[in-house]
Amino acid sequence: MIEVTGLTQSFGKKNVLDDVSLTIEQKEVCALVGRNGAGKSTFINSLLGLLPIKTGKILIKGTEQRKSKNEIAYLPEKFMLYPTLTGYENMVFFAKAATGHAEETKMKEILTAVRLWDDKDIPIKGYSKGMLQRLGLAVTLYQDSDIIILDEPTSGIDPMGRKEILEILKGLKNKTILLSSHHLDEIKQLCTHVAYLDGGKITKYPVQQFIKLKHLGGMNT
Amino acid sequence: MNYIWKEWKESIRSKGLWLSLAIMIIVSLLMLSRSSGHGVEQGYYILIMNLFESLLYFIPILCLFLGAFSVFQEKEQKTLVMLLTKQESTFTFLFKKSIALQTVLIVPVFIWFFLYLVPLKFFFQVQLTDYGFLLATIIGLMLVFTQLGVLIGSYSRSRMQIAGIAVIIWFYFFFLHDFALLSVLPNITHDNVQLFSVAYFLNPIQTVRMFLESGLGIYSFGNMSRLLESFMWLTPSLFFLFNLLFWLILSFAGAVLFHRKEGFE
Repeated sequence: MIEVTGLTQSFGKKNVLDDVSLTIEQKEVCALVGRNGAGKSTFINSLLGLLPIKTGKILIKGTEQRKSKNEIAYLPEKFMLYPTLTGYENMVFFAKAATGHAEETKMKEILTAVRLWDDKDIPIKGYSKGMLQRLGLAVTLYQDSDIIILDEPTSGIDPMGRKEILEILKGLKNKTILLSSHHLDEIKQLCTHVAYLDGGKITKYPVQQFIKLKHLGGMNT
Repeated sequence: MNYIWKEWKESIRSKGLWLSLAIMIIVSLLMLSRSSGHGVEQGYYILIMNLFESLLYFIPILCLFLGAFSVFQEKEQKTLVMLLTKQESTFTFLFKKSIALQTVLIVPVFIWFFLYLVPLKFFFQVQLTDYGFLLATIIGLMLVFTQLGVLIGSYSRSRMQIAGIAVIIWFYFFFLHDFALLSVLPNITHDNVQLFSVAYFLNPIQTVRMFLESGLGIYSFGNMSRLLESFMWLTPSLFFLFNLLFWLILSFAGAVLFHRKEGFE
């Protein structure tokens, strides 16, 4: 589903990603793990086509990344959406921007699933961090992409809010998900695999093996 | 339409648009009261020129900031990156954003100056053609400086950068451009006067002024020297039109070419 081969990205003389290869199969939930500055954002931005690829190849569902823009739904870290618009208005704008139209029944279904239907008419500057994150997920889910990339989806959210986000993510079936995270408990609950980024290289582990190695002190995240 | 709808909702719920409109309304009402004592015909032209002179200082800096912050907010709120990963390219995003922003800023101003005709009718003998010239200059200035604002917002990575660049651009068009031209003025001959004219009319401030003043009949181009004839090698309306197109295209192309995304470059 996602196939990265020999990807190298450098800033100045520093290779942030050095000949990285990674395959994420269909319906896999893969965590992207690494220390701050390890290159997680560079890797994600390369997948999304926000950074030009100088060396290497990225295939999304078998086609070149730049031709498969609509296959991926992305939720960045610390997003704010449009604070003066209501939750519903934000949904309508992004739905139309991504698909050209906004289906009311589909929006109701998704906003109900993320438990925001009752608060849909409140301007989102009045939302809590958790509510905002759930709205972001709703915007992402509306796009019906098979592949979802989430950048630290529970960052800065209180434990209750995190639990709600994790419940929504656990409920996503038939999706290929790549999420960057620093929380081991979250990775344990959600992911089937972990892509560990260190020194510009990525190594992929089944989640249980990664946790064992982590407990043995072999991983710095 | 989606972008216009979004931009409109955002604007009417935030203070920027209302404050700007309020200042324009206050300025135009004050000018009306000041000019009403000058008689029905003369007072009308005094009002138009005073109004133009007052708004000339205010509109450019306002539009530079509104345009720049509106684009920059899309970076700050991470909505830009969300849109770019789906249907939009930098070109289509900036195009739709520019259209939406221009519409949202120009329509309320246009409506106000339409309503403003009502009190004008009471005090003066209104010439609609002349009023049209004033409206065209205001809208022209808004178009050019909002689009330059979009360029600043697209390039900048911080609010401080926006403030710095916007003030420099404003200062350039109001003072530096004229200083530069004054310094070469002694060297202008019949051979290079057209080049000088191009440089002069590249400044939107001078172009709209010439357009309005010639439109109102303040300047006459009937008996010009050969040098001045070469200087005015196009009509003021054409200079205005070309200036508008030049800055709109240049600032839009600059916004696309020099666009910098937030955070990862």
